[in-house]
Amino acid sequence: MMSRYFLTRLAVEGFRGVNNENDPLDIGFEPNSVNSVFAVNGIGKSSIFEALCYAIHGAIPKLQSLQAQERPQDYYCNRFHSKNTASIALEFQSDDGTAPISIRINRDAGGNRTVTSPSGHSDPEAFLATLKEAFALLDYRTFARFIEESPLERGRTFSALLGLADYSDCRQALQSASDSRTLNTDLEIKVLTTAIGAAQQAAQQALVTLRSSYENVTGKPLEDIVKLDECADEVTAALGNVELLKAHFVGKALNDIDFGKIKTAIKTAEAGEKRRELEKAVESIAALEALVVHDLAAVADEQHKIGALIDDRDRLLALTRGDLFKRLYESAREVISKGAWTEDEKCPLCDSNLSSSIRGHVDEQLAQYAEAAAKISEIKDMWQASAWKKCLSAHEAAAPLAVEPQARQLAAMDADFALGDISRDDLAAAVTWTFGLTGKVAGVLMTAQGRKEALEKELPPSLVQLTEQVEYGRQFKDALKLYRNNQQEESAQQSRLDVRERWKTFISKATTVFAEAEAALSKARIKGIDAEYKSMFREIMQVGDVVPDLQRADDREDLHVQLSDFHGQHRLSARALLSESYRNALAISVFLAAALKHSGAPRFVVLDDVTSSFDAGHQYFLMELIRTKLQQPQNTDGLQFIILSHDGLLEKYFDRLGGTTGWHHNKLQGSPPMGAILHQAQGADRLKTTIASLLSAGQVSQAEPLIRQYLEYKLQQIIRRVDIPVPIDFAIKDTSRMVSNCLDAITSAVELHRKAGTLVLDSQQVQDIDTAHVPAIVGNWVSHYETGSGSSLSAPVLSGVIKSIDFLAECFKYDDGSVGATVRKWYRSLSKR
Amino acid sequence: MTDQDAQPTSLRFDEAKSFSDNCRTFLASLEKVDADMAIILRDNWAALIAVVREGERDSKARGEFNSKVASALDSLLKPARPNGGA
Repeated sequence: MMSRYFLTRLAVEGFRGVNNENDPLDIGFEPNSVNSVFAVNGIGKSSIFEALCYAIHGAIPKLQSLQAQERPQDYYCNRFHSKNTASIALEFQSDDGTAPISIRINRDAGGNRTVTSPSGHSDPEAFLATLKEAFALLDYRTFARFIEESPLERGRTFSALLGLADYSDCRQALQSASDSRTLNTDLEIKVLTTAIGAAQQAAQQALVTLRSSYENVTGKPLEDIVKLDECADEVTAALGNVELLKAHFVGKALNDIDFGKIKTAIKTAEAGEKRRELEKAVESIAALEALVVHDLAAVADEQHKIGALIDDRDRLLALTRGDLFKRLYESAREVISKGAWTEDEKCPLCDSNLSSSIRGHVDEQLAQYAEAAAKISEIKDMWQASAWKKCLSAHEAAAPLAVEPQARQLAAMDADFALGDISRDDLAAAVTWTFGLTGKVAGVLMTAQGRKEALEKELPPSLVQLTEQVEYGRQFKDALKLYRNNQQEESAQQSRLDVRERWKTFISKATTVFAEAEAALSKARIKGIDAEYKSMFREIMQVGDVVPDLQRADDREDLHVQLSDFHGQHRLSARALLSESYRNALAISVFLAAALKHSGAPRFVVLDDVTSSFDAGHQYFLMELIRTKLQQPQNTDGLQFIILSHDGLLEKYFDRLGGTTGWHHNKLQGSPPMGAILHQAQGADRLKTTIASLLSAGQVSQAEPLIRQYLEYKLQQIIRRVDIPVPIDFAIKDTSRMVSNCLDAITSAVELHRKAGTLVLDSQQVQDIDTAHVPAIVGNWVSHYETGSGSSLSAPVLSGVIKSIDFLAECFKYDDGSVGATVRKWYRSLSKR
Repeated sequence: MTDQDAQPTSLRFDEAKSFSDNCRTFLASLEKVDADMAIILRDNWAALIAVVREGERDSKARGEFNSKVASALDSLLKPARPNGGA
């Protein structure tokens, strides 16, 4: 069995509303007693509860609920503490005799929390963690929420209360992890689905390209996409059949073929030597075949005729006497024709007589010249119009015959024919030249045709078409790669999707398994406290015909609160029917019943203002239930209770029981958040000592709030001790005027009893009250500080006020010598000793 | 490896056992449902527990848990290395 712990001490400084700089609010709690702590509103009771929350849970729910911009971290430490640091000291006593544990929690100005153990606990933070039980710190809000919240929230709250918080958290974690919507997001289900769809679409597009490119390359449709490997081989084979491409395809798989390189090769081939050679061959053939049109026989005939004409010319020219005589004859004709020589049978040069007509002779001579010229012209015309000239021109110009320009004869022959002086030798040379050329044609043509055939075999029939084929091949290859890549992608993403769906199914099932087991455990725990909480509820509310019933749902964490009996009616909604006090009584019953069953480390329950909705009677019954049946050691399995309250009526109950066996009462007073908070157990003497110390040091302003605190404490002590009635609005009047309110209540009560003749005080006490102490306090404190006028009084005057209040308190005491030694006692009331 | 249609033996937490012990029993029972998935859940149990602390859900922690699960699921798909390594 693990040790369980009672809380025996709490000391707080610089935390929330507790300033208490250098003088911590120090409260002791007794394990064997109900511990009550009373304070009116604003005195720091909530700060005590929050200090415990922070110590154990590391945070304060109220501050946690603030928005970040409200800077909740700035409100843990007391804002008037000069160092802006907080310290919380806790002491725990075990219930099995193991060593007590002291823990100190500090929070620095930067919000850093440090936990140490003056008692030497090895892991104080871990120890505090063991105290994180749902029942250890309970406030009104927790109870009110228990009934008001949804069945699901209630179920979760209750799980914590039953010690099943870990199970509830785990169940919720599993539910969170199996939530389809968030899981789909976290596991990127939609992303995967989209990726699969995209891969499928891309594969389909690739397939379209595969079909068209396959058909373009092979000339047949792609029918079976399962046999894409075979199709790839067919594409490779089809392209490999092209001579130019063989080297690129033979022995290679489609994937290994570099289509880019092939296309470059085609481009090279298109514009390359072979292509040019073929073009040249084709051109040569075309040019050589074009020479065939020349009729060489006709050419030869023309050459023969020209030869004959040359002979005629030469014969005719031989009949003439050359150009000089020609000019002579021409001149003679001119002389004769112009009448310059009229003697026709006489030589104009020598005047000799002629046997014939000179004119006839001249004409005859010139006619011979004319005939010769006619022959020359005939030769020239015949040349110009000859097929020979065209034939020679074509042959000399035919590139395949490669006649160098300087070797060409046509121009020279043209000139010779034009001049008409072409000789027989010239003609013979020209004929030889011509037939030399025409004789080459057949051979050159044969060579060109041979090369053309060779090139045609070597070169593809159509490079354009081939380029297209290669392009289709490339398309097929790329599409095949794309198709397969997308198939792989689809497959990979589908696998990821499948395994995620598998996880979703699994985690959902795991959640169900856990939830069922958790529900069964929770039901067993509820059953275990069933009788207990029903009994507590009955005792607190003093009813027997209203019976609550907790019902845990089978398949959810929902906890339904019903009334199994409501004045004879059954199974009704507790939330609908029960008033607030009944609802809270039920919540308290359930929490306390669960707490009693618990076996966790904390064996204490701190209740903060849990009776706010209760009337006096139900408060009483609850307190009595705690005191008589739940508090240990009356209940050997019971707990230590620490009850924080601001309720004035409950305080009467605390006061009455305070100091009795089984009840330990603390009352807080002070002036938070700037001043100190003290409780009576801490002793007014310590307060008075501090005041005296400050006043002697001249620190009047620091002493003033403590003086006020001391005055309020002493006056309320008088009121409480001698049972002075206070007005109904006493506690809710302006608390800044508490001193005068107390003085008014005391003097009114004294006056009332004096007039009624029932005052137990002696006459000197009454006179001192009326003429010395009350006037001194009013004059030197109330009239000055409660009006807020003027500056501080001097230290001696304030020391006098302290003396006056002490003297005033003494006026309500007497010396009791009835039981041996004289004891100074409070009057029981203003009318009784 | 997996039989998601199979129902695990009805699980009951033992009141006498700690939460941790009961969780171990729970995880062991899930191996009948899907051993691979049960291993992933067991390996990432701490991350799952962080999703809800003291009744407060932490969506960031849930995201981290699911991220770890997703990584583990992807690892599950990777073929084992020939030398037997993962």
